[in-house]
Amino acid sequence: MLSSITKYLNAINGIALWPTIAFVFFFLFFLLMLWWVITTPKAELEHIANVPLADNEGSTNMNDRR
Amino acid sequence: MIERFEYDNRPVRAYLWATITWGAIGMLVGLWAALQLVLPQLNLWEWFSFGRLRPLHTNSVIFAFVGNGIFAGVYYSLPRLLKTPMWSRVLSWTQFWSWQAIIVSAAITLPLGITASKEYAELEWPIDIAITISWVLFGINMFGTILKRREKHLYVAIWFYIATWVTVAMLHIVNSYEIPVTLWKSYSGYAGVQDALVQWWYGHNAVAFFLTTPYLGLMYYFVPKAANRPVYSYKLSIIHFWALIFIYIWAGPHHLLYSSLPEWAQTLGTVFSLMLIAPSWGGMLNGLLTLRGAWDRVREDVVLKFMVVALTCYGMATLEGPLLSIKVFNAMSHFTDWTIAHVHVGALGWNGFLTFGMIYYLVPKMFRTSIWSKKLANAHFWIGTLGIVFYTIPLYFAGFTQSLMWKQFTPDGYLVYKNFLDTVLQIQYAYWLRALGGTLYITGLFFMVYNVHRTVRQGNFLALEPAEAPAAEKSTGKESTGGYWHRWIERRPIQMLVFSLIAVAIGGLVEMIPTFLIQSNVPTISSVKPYTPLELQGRDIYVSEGCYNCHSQMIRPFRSETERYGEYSKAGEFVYDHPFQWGSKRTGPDLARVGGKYQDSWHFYHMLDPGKFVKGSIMPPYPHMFEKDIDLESTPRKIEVMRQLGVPYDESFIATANDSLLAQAGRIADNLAKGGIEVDKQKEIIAVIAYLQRLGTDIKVKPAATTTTTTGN
Repeated sequence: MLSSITKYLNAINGIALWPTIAFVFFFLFFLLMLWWVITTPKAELEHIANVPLADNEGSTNMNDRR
Repeated sequence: MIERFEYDNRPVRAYLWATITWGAIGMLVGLWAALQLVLPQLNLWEWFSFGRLRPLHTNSVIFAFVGNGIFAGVYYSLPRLLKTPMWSRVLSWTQFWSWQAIIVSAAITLPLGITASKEYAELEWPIDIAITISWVLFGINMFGTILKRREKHLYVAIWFYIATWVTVAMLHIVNSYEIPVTLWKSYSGYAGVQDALVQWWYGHNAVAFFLTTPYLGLMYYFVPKAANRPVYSYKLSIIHFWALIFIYIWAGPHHLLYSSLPEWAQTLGTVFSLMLIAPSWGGMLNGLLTLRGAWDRVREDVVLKFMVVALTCYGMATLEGPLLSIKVFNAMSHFTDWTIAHVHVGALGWNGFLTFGMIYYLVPKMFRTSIWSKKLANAHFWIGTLGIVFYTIPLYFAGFTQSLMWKQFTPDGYLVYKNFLDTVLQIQYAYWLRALGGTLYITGLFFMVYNVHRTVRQGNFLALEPAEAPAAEKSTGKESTGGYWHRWIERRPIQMLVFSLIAVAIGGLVEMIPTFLIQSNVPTISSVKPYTPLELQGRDIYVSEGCYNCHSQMIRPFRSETERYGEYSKAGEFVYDHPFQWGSKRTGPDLARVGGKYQDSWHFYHMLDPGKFVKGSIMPPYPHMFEKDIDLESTPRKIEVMRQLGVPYDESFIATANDSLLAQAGRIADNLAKGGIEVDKQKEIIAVIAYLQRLGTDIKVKPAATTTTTTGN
């Protein structure tokens, strides 16, 4: 089964370039993500960060009882 | 409009009990295996010898203890983060029971010697299929819940859950590509170097995506909950997430440094491992800094104590991991107990302590009470911490000691410790201390079991927790405007799934495709021939006994190794190895070139009772090999499957394979008879001897081995 797949993939020229292409792709994605993180309004991030705390359970610590 | 609904705590409770039960069992098995290394008489019967118990320990701790811990945490946090109950109650329970059934089948098959022999993926193909189904049920339930959520933002913990799900699915399917021989036996679809690469791509990322990312998701939920304040930096959590999943997937080859893996792949593993320090420490600091201004509470609150130590251990393990990926450190650490120590900082510290923190948080909450005894919980914390210290430090010393002894030369250039056993006996004290550490840690666990039991008794279980939230907004399709493309992804879980899959798939493909495609990556050696049927049967017994747990078959290109074991291993020597047997630990010596080193009779007596034959040896005895017959019925099918996998046996050979097997067995039995040993040629021991005598001899067949590089078919 594997050999039938590799037979066709074998014909790809310059497959050794793949790691470089993938790295460039990842790096660009990373830059894009950084840019987003820097430009997102603080209020919005604060809202998301508070999602776990916003289930009206109040303080959740076992110390609160003892 | 405000809607009312209920969170179902019952599956969470079931998963918690499963976590605790399997945790206790898995750790006790670990302690037993640890004691076998100092008291070999604890290798009771064939079912509980070290080679079969160790996989049972690793699998139960990873997939039963941590696995159920993941599900408990996800089934609790996911609905609350999305303000909706889990999508399907039926799926929740089907997944629960299927997962437990898988664990039970693992606990039965592994001691029976039914194993695929790939570390942490030992379970055979029928169980692999069951795992896939159970995991898909989990995914459907998770995505169903995400799709009908009332909170439009997906909190970062959920991203980690999504990445976990998609990556584990991919890893499991790719690594489990195997061809069934019988109901309980299969051969890996990959051979030698490629099998090793796929296996450690899986093995490393099982650590990354089963032991790390889901627990980071739990950390991002439970640490803010326990500290009652939001995570330190949400921005950092976003960078943490993407950087971690992008980089982690590439780092697998660091498990194969100095092996026969192509050099470029090894370097790739090292570079990405070093890069991993950044996101790992970003995550750890994000967790710890969440407690800023609340450190006084850490003194009081045992949940926070467990979580702080868990995060600290995460930080230590993720600094050490990249360091061990640097070749000069790896040359020392690899194959020694250093690796075991490293792994247990993560397992006992990070996974164990985060799980305990979560349990101490959840049980009182779901049973509407407080913990029965804070003192006992504190005692658990301290005895557990001491347990980690006593477990890891002696093993670090054992690792350093053994590595230095392996490499020590006399001024004349001879090995000082020629006998491998000397290096094993030297570190017995460390094995005792490690067992003490493990005992302390397990004692702590039992403190928790009792504490939880009493808490449950004094409490009152809240099965369905009422909640309310505004109804979900209808999507207007305008969210993507304004350039905030990440917000666009973040609100679209399916796209998120696809992007995570692309991210992890590229890393995997880039690593693996070239070795599969460029034939020059694995130079073939013309004198390397397929195993004879008898050797193949012997190899399958070797696999089934789990010999790879203590013996490597990979001689690294160091003088200390070539001097001790012979010529270093070449990639081309493993082309017919389905699966590969390189191993990852040398509790005993390397066996890559053991063939021809000893007489057949030496192996015969040694396998019968190693401790008696080689004084001080801690190897388990294998008397059952002297009683059981070779499974001749399976031979033709085995040859047939090997043929399907590309091993060049003639088709006509399938029918005559057993004749060849019996002829070779007869020669070995005759040879033994010359030394006064009477043994039936059909006994398993004959096949094992045949396999061991073959190991590493192929390249010695001709005076000069011809290495040819084939370019394409």
